[in-house]
Amino acid sequence: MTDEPTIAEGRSLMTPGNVITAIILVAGAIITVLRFTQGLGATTNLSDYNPWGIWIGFDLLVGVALAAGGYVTSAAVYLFGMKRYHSAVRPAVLTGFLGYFMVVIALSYDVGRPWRLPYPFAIQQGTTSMLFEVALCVALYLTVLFLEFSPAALEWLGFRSLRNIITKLTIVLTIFGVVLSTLHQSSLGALFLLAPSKLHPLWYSSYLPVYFFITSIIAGLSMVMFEASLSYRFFSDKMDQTHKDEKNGLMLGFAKAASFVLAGYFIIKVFGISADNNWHYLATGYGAWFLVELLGFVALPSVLYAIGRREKNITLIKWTSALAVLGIILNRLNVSLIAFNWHLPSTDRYFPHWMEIMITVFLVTVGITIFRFVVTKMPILYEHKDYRTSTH
Amino acid sequence: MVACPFEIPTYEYHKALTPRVRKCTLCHPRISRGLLPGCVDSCPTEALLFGKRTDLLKIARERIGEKPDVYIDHIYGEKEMGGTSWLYLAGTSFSKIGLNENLGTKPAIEYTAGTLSAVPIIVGLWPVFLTGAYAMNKRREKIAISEQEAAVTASIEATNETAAEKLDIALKKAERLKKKEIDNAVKKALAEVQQPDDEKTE
Amino acid sequence: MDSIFFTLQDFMTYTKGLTYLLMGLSLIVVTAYFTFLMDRDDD
Repeated sequence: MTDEPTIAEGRSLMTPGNVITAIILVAGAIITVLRFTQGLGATTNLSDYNPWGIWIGFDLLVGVALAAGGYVTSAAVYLFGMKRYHSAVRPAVLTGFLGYFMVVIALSYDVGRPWRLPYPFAIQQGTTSMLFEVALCVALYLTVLFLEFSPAALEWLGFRSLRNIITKLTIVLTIFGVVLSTLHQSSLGALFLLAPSKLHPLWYSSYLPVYFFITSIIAGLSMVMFEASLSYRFFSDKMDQTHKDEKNGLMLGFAKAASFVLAGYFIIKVFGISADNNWHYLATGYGAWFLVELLGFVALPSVLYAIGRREKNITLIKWTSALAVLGIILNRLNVSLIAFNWHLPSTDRYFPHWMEIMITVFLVTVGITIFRFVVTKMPILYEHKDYRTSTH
Repeated sequence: MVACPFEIPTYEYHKALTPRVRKCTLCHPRISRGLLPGCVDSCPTEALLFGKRTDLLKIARERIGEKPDVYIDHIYGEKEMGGTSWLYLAGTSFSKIGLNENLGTKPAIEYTAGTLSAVPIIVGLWPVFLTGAYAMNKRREKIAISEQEAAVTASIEATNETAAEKLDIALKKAERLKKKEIDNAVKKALAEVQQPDDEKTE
Repeated sequence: MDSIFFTLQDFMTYTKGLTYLLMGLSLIVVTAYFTFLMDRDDD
């Protein structure tokens, strides 16, 4: 079960997986050229009604949420003293860093003039804008994640003294990371506060920033579990004994945390409906869809995590983490696309162009490919033999 | 574009490198030359008016007052979203001519003001809470370690003590044994000494 | 539920009241759920 893909990789590069990867990369490169020569009009279905498509709804909003594992895990281990999950920090930080990196790349496709992305810092601040805060936090947090990740790269390259200096900063970086994540996970939700007339009332709430922040914790925890199971399956030859030993404890502990946070999230979602007196919308079509999200992708994973934890059923926890991750994706797509512009007739609604989907697939593939490269080369799933004691 | 409830700004989707988000500037170059915006200038029935907002509101109220049967008693834009620079009068309901009547009177900026005002508080307090959590865990860990150490030394002491006790007992035992031996030896010697006498007496 | 509120005061009295009740309920539910989650804890 564990080692068939890695053996195949060793034999030949012409595996089906690699061929598909290569096709996606080539197609992505071609569409990239089209995007920057023909413009957004030729490559997307964006319109004046729908200026945000899946590059924002999926690549950015989902990408940032799923990259939350970095701050959640490092805070749990370094600040809240859960040292027994130490081996989960590096993979989580790597996913966080790559996630944010790909988000910034995706954003460069989506904005009209990507070379002006630094403008908010140098030329036009616009400090009253929510987007200014988002830009500031994303830029700073990407830097923090880069520094948090860098010890692994420096160990691989053998820069001992620089690596030691950066590891001394671990606590400060972790605190910065949590502050910045709190701010901009929530501010991504706050962006939609500006569109009360466009977002369906069941999803629109003055609590949106809190919802986005809490779901980012759920996404972070679930993503770490999901990824741990995948890594255990595909990279088990790269794992050291500590990592393997800590895996089950990690799954059980994180499942407990995720179950409880999901329960809290469920409760504040109900409070949100009550505060705005939106009960009557539940009887509509959008209401049914809202209940699918709330019951099927919030309540259900919470209960399944709880059962998985009680029964010590790692397989159940693994599948539940996939369900919870899907739930986060669904939530972000609901807020940004599905329940957004609900007042418009269906002819004015947005559905992604195939090239938009292709670019999204392309960016995810690039992310996974870099992840595979880093995990095979750098001490992510194992501790470097020269630094074994000093990392704690 | 996402935030505008009237869906006014447009984007130059056909341009690859220099797209702009644009909306009507009310012919700004003409206004700065003292002229009216083009649309107002060319409107023959004076359906479009250009001027100071306060003046326009006054005119609008006068018009409604003069013809209450023709106009709906509402100036669209006076209060919607905090008040807009375009004002509308209408003879039918505003939603029929494509204007959203449920926008409320809050300016857009107020919707995010709460969240943005929370930002400095989070920057100020999160590090305090998190450092606190870190310090508490560090302390707990220290206490755990020192308790462990204390337990170790205590158990060592306890072993030492019991060892000493045992030694003591053993020593005492040995002493007693020795004493017994000596006693026995003395008794034996005495007996031996006594024996000849007994034999003699026999 | 579809009652019409004429003033903001009425609306808030109704929604806040209901939300406070839900808050009380949630505290009980959460405690029960936490017990359910933890009762087989042996570590």
